[in-house]
Amino acid sequence: MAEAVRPRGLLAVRLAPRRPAIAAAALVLAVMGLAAVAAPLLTPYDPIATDTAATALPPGSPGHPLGTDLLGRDLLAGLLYGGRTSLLVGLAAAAMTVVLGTLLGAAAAAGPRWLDSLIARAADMLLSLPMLIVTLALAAVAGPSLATVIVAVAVTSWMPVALIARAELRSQRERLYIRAAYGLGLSGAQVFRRHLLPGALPPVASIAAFEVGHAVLTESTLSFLGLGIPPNRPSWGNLLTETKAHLLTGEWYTVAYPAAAIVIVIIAVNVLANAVAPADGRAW
Amino acid sequence: MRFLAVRAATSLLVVAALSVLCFGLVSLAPGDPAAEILEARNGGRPVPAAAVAALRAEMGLDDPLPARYARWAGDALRGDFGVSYLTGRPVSETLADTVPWTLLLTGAATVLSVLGAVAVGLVAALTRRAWLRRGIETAMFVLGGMPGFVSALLLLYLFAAVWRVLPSGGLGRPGEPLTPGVVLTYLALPALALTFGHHFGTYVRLIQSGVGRLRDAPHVENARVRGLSRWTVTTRHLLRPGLVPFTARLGVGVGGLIAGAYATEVIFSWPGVGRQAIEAARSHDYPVLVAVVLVTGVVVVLANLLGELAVARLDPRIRRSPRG
Repeated sequence: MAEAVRPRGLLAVRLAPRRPAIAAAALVLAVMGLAAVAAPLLTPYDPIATDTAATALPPGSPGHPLGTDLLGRDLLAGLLYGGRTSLLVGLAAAAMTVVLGTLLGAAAAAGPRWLDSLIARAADMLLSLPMLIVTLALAAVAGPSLATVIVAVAVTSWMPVALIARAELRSQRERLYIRAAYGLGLSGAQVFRRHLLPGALPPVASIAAFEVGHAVLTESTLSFLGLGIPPNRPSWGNLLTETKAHLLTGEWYTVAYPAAAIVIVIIAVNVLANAVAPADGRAW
Repeated sequence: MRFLAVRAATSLLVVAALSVLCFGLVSLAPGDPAAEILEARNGGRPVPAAAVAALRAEMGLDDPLPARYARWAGDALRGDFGVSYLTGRPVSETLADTVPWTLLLTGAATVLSVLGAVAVGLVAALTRRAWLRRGIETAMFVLGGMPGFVSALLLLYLFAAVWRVLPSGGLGRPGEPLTPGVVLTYLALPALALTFGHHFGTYVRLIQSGVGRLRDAPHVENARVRGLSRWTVTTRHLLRPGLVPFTARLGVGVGGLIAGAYATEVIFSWPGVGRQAIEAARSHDYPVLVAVVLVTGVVVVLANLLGELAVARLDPRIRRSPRG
């Protein structure tokens, strides 16, 4: 009757790792990614072109399967092109976070003591601050743009990656095979590249998956607040900015599409990240 | 006491680091604040360079960065955050108007989070019905994938548009006196949104795993056999030790809640610091932005500190650890 101790995770609740959920999540993400890439083939409309002859059409209207907004912009086109931006930012920001975090973690593990304690202390300190606020200040100072969002996300979320990479590298360093590699006459750089780094990658990979979800979330929040992607380039976040009033006037679907897309992507990413996470639950 | 002193010193250091970060960020921002102020007061028309130079000297903008930081930090310690670029109003007045409302909102959301998470987490941990536990786990997983502003929009739609039971935002109608009842009506929706939009799923899971691990532990079995009431067993022997991981997370979570209040306040037009911060960020009103970020940071650090103290109270091992 004793229940196995549930693995811990901080960013998401764990489901039992059942294959169908993982396959479904992968399928959903693949379809969304394909749809975003193939957006021009799937819709003839420009997502920001207004059409005064077709404003506020409900879903199912001829020519506009998801309807149009109050300015006559096609909602399907907005969803598809918005997905392009949101997924691009999510992947790019997560990639940059992981590279930055791994580099800093490696520098801490391999570098001199003062560098190690500087990086570890800075990471601890930054982790205790709400990073959304710092991201916000950063985005406000640098001005809203795609690059700002990517950099702001990376600069404010490298800490878990760095701490995990550092811990992993430090524990690997004492292992027998590493000492054997040194004994065989490999240089420090060779050992690092061929043995230490590959060994540290699996735990980094699982946190990388979570970082994608985190990046999508941060981008949508920033854009929703008008401090992320500028409105001339649709993203799921900034599509929601103008629509709050629509909830009260009956055009709820203008809100529902991008909001559902964000939630589905983050949930699917979390399912996949849980599948990659090590069973002992060290990942976030 | 030693534990408290070390933690407090660390917190002070974090606040100092945050202030350097904020000030540095804003000082390195493009644009000349003196020119922006004068243009704003001049209705957006360009102003003579001599006037800009005079104001720069008056504001001390030509001094080296460390000197400016020292002066700004000294003023900030005395509660003087300068004046808004946009309105010319002292920032401290703006803060005094907005901070209490944000504290009310986040306080209400924290209470709701704790009560809700303990209730749901206990049910999930103690139920023998697999479908109920699985249902709660799935619901919390979906909640975990929902950004705070999305759950806020969802609640707004349900409560204000479909059922029309709660106001969609703001705080009272114009001219309406703010009785506690009125405030509560307008507070309900943003507080609910803040609760379910941030970490609620994580809290439930931490309580579920913390309590679930103890459910069949020998000391709990012993307490049951001794004939203690179900209530005593649950509160004293399950909940108190089972809450440690949750409490440890709550301190950090409250910080996230305050950051999350930014978007919630914008959505529900709640008159707190978050909305002020977003407006300041959009209009490059840096004195307001820096002050708000700093005040939020201080509140967050305090929340973290309180969380650690609470954990130390619940778990003597941490209190007496040599690391302090």
